[in-house]
Amino acid sequence: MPSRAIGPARGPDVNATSTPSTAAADTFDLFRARARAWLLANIPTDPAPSDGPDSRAYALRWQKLQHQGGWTGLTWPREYGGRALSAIEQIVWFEEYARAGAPSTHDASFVAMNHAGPTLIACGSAEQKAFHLPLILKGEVIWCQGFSEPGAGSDLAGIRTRGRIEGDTLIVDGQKIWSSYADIADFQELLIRTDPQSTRHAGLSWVICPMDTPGITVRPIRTMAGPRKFAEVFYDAVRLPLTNVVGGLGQGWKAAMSTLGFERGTASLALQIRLGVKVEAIVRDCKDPATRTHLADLRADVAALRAMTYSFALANESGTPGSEGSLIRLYFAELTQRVTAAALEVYGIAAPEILEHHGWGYDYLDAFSETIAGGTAEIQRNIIAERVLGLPRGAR
Amino acid sequence: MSAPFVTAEQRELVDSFVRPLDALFPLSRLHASPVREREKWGQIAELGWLGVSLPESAGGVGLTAVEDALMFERLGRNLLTPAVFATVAAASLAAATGDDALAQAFATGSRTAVLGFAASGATEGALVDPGDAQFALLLDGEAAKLFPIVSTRLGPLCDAVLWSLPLDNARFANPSHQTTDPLITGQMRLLLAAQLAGIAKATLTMAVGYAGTRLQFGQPIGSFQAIKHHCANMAMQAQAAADLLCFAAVAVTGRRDDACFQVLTALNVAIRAAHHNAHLNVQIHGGMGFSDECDAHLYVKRARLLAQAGGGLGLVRQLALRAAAPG
Repeated sequence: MPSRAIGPARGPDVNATSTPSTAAADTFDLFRARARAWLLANIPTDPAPSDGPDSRAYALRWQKLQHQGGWTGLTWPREYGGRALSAIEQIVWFEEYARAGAPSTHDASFVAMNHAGPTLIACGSAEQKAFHLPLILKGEVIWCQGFSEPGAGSDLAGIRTRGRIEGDTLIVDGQKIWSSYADIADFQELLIRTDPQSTRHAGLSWVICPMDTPGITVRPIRTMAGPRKFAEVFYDAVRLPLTNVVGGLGQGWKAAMSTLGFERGTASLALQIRLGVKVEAIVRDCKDPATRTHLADLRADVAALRAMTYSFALANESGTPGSEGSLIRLYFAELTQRVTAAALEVYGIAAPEILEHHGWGYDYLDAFSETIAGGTAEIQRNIIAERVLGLPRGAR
Repeated sequence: MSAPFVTAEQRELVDSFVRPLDALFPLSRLHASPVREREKWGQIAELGWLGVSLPESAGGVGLTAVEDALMFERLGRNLLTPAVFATVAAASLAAATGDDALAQAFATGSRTAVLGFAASGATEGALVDPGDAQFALLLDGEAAKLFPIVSTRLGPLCDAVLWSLPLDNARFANPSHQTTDPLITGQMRLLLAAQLAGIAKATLTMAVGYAGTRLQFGQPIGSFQAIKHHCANMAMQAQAAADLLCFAAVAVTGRRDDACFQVLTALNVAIRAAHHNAHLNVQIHGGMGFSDECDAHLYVKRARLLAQAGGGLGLVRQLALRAAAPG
């Protein structure tokens, strides 16, 4: 492990307007040192299983361990088990996490930590937060997402899975698809149409769905990278209590946009930082002068990504991240694909670095989802153009 | 004397050669486990696909590099096993080194070769789907080499998942036949370019088909500019690869001074077109494109394999810079 810090030793580089005091900078140094030591002593030595019950067990075990060490929910409210620290500490943690080669944060814990958790913090009731957030942080539950449907991908407002209200119960019928980890999850963030008269964005509700509720069928789907990482989910008269609605009945679009905002904003923070560590590995291993020249550009782009990530995280410490998150999300998505493709050129497709479990070959294939999931690259460009730049919507 | 361009007659002839292709080798076969494509080897041989440009004296059909390239472009669209290419290349190598008996064996299907690859100058590498083949063909920089498989193959390297075909470990020592004749190795790279051009074309067709039918926001997604423009970009790439392929095939057939340059350039363009188009085909298919069930990923993976078989884009670039460009 290189002894020279990849990031600045005193927290990340911040601009003059938010320079920490000397005392605070010392604190970041201490925080970083503690994080580094803990990771060195605690990261798993075995690789993460790709799918199924083993991947669930592995993710929960790692989450538990991090929680016991005090490293989970760094920016979450203290009353639900978080540490209420700043974005800077979160960034420092992810820097050390990446340098230590810790398990990918895009594992079975991802939805709970980056979608459900933040959405509940932003929109949930006190009871929902008190019940679910500690379970998430402690590594006792896995969440999955139930948004997309076969007929509603980019056009999320076109969803048709419906919840009929009977007294204090919702009766859900319909189908979801691309639900990552649905086969091993305890809960699902489920977006359904609860107003039968509504169309499009109105009349939707974001509901907590326990995956052991009778009437739910899960069919895992294999990705092009190999593992059966996501699934179709079918709902046949599934009964959910109305108290599981998050953010208010009929307010599901707002809650879902909050969820997607987190996905585009801070969820990939760890991965974005990790990309810097990974690209250094290719640079180190690449001997061919022509390819090294190309890698110089990739490396520069990765540095730019890191700077954007820090800037955005600091600007969006509280509340739902702004639309600028789409800029970073898209930049990261396409850069990841360029980096993983470059790795293939450096190593050759039969090289051990390519073929081993979770090697560059897997990363290359898995990276195809980055420009598709959580809003396609095409949609992200529309969002950037319209919501960030204020350009008119016009013909699609 | 060969024509200075590809003729309609040549295209029609190849059309007739590959008429049974879609029925015999539909893309859906590649989702079976295990893939049993090699069981149809006898039919492949009977159709004459293994000896199109091999002289009749060596058991071939006696046509030219043009017909071979046009045919492999079609075989490339259906992602036919790389063993077909390897066997055709092996036959041409055998014939070039005076081993007509072996060339004939390859052309008639009694002997088969499979694709090998290794890093430039390395002896350790991999074999693609060796099955019960007797030989391995390796394009090693400026050389093409044939190895008896019994002394080459070491053991399983990895399962089929990542590249959609099993790979075996291999040590490439003691080739039984080899050549550095640039026209021979050039013709082999031409056929790789052909298959990659086929991938560029097939993925364009698949993407346009989906964009025209998949509805979101109440319309086919092909009506949105972003998707339209992707398809337009794919069309440019596919056309460039296809036309340059024909140009290079004519140059090889005519034994022109710049034939090697044209082939390496055609391979360069075809590699990039195939990667570009295969990637966008996945993208246009959205979540479906990322699934194993969809055909899109098959093109992505095969394009990577074929590019590697030619030595990779880096090597292709270097070789082209050294080759004689048109005066």
